[in-house]
Amino acid sequence: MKELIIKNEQETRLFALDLAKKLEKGSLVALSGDLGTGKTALTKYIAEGLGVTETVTSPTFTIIQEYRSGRLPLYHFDVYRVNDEEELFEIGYEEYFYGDGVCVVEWADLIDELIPEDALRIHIEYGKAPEERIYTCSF
Amino acid sequence: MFILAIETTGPHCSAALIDGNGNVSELVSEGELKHLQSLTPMIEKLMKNSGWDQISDIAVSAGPGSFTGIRIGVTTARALGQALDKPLISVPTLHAFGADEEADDDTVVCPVFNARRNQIYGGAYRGGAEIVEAGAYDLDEFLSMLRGEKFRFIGDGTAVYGEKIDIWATEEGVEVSFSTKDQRASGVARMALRMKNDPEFYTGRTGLRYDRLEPEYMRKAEAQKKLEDKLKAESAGKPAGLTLRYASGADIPAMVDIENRSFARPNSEDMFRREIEENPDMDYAVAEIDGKMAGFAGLWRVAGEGHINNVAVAPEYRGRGIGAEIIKKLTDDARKMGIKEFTLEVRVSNRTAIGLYEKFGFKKEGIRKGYYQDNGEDALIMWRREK
Amino acid sequence: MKDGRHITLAIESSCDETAAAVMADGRVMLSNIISSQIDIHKAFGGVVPEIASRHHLTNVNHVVDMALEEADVTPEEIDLIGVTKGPGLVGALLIGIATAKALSLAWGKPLIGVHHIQGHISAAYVENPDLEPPFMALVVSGGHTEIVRVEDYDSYKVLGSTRDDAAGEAFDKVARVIGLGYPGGPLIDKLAKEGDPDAVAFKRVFLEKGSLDFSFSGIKTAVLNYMNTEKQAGRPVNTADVAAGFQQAVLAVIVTKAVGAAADAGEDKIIMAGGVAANSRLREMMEASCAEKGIKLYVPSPILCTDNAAMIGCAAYNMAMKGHMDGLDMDAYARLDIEEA
Repeated sequence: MKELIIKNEQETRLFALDLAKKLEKGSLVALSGDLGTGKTALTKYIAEGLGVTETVTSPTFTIIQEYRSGRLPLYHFDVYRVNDEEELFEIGYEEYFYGDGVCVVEWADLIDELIPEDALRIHIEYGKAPEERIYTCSF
Repeated sequence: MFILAIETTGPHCSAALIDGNGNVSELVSEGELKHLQSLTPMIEKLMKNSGWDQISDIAVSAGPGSFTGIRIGVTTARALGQALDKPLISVPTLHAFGADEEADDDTVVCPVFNARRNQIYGGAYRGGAEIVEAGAYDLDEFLSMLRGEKFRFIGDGTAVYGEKIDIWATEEGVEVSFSTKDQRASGVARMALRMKNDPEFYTGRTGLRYDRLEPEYMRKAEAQKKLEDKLKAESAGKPAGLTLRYASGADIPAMVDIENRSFARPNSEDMFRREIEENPDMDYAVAEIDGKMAGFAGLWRVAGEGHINNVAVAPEYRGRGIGAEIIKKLTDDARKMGIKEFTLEVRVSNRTAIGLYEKFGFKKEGIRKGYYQDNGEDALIMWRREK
Repeated sequence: MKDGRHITLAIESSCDETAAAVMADGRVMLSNIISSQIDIHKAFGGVVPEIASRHHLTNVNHVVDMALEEADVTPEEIDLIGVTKGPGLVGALLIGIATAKALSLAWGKPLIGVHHIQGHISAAYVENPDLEPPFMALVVSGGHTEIVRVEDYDSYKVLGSTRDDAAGEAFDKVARVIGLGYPGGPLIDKLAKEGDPDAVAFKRVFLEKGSLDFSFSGIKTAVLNYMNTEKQAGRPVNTADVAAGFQQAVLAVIVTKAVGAAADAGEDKIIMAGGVAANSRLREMMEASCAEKGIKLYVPSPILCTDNAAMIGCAAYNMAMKGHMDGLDMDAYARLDIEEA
């Protein structure tokens, strides 16, 4: 467990670019944290780190967004709306989680039992200053 | 008249037509994993020289296998069945695949598909008959269920687990061969014809209306898997040298000893003899630690239900999860024989046991008043029923 | 053909809904079945089908049956089969596509795959028989916020879209932040009526000059910060004012950009599409702004704003009339560019 103070968005970006280098086929980044803590923003920068050129938008309604322009396919999940295992199974989550690309899952805490043991978990909280965040990482 | 057969559960997508005499024409996709694009054009091509009125049934390989693949095949079959008002045949994938492999009657054919998380979908077939039920297993669990001298492993799981299987074969002193062929619609077609000609062979899978055909993913629900992993972790602190097996007459003295030390009103040696040596519907599973008996439990199979009784763990071995291991073995093995509902009675005061059974999915359903004769205590009746 | 009219059967399964519809001459709705809206008491063949959210595989056959039955159309009478081919969830899309292909093959009918947004835009044709391209389209829903120039039935140009959250999503998230339920959009719409939009002013985010793109994640954060600040200071919050202020900030940007784009392009028609098009304040503001600029506004009824297959059928018909056709090898597309679809 590691706790990091991320002072602003630039540091978020640096953290993400660094993390992206470590990602490989089958990696899963599990993000948790309240509304507005910057889960999607972090994902955008992870995507940048993977070389994704498409604009990364929020998958809240679409549940899964796929990006194939990077060095690995990126599957961006937001399970806020669908966090029932049966429904997620019908959508095919297993094939993504154990598939050919990298998954980033927002609101992963809502489906904790489905997250693989070796996932890279990041919990985000507000820091003292408005732009500041505290990342608690499992790696 | 022909049966149209569809196979989409593996890396290649294929479709076939089979006539009443077993003559097959088949098309197989060239590339891998393009099932959505390939399947319908392939069926169109197959049907080029026949009319839909010549099709009697539509058969589809229902799973297990690739999640997306299964869905494409099943959806296509349902829609065709709906559009043409034709009956559907739900073909069990592993059985069709296993039965179609050319092998002599001494060879046990084991189709294995790579499922995620170190699991496989597998089954064992000899002479076309199923000898290990098709299902999702840990590889070691599956291998431990195999009986025979010669084995042929087929399917995409062989690439991933070939080495481990080789090691197992060497340890067991059995002969093993591999094939990298994957499942084909021709195999599905042959199985479908067999099923159609003998509806008793697989009841409830032929003559299906389109909305009755469902995919068979055979996945263990995540919740169940987590429970199993948790129980495994809890009992591993699994005592070293724990073995589980079924009792024979020779075990009776040891069982009687534990019985006498565990209960105020122990069952007699005669009862054990009757149940172990004379009653074919009764099984006793025993747990041993380093060769010494630690506990046992009985399961009586009656009217499609499993009645668990006579659960006993020697006092010096209690608190190590041995009871849990024994119950698990009994229920797992009984499930493979088709038993889906289990019941047992437990003293209302036995909190530990009640908690254990609840972890196994047993729920309180009733009370038998004054059941226990030694102190007139009530018995709690618990059931585990599968949906 | 039935009664001299071209018949299209359409299927939509890109996300939550499994839907099927039958359209006559592309624009007349003979039936419009949507899985979440099926009256559970409506028996089908004596057995109530199990219609579960996102269970497309088991839903699709039922909705197709119901669509044909309600439209009183037989398979022989079908001229065209339309289906959504993307964008969306591949696992969901493939159910509709595999079904449409099988029906196409079995019944010998031509097949067309349609872009989901193209479907939303086509909803406008369904209720306005005289509407023809070119016109400007504003598509606002939970998953999309786009300004599209509709040049022809098969030609589109995306002029602007969201860079982060879609408008509908912003509504839902802010609703949660201020303690309303789900779905947030209609609840904010309702609550805002009781509030003063100028009481709590939130910054309108226009992005760089001349851009027709949108960004709504900032305002979501602004509302969050406001709520937190007030809470920490112990001041009571007037949620109606917050709802009104938030709504105004979001809609003002949307209306300005959409109507501005139409005016700049010399378009005299603009349509609204997508779930947020049902928002009463958005309609009000669009009507006022369009009237000012002499632009005619087309607003579809709420049932056609959400995901449905009628709009897909209409889009499919229009594509067919333009000579397009798809083969039985059609694929499902998680991402799809409307300009190339």
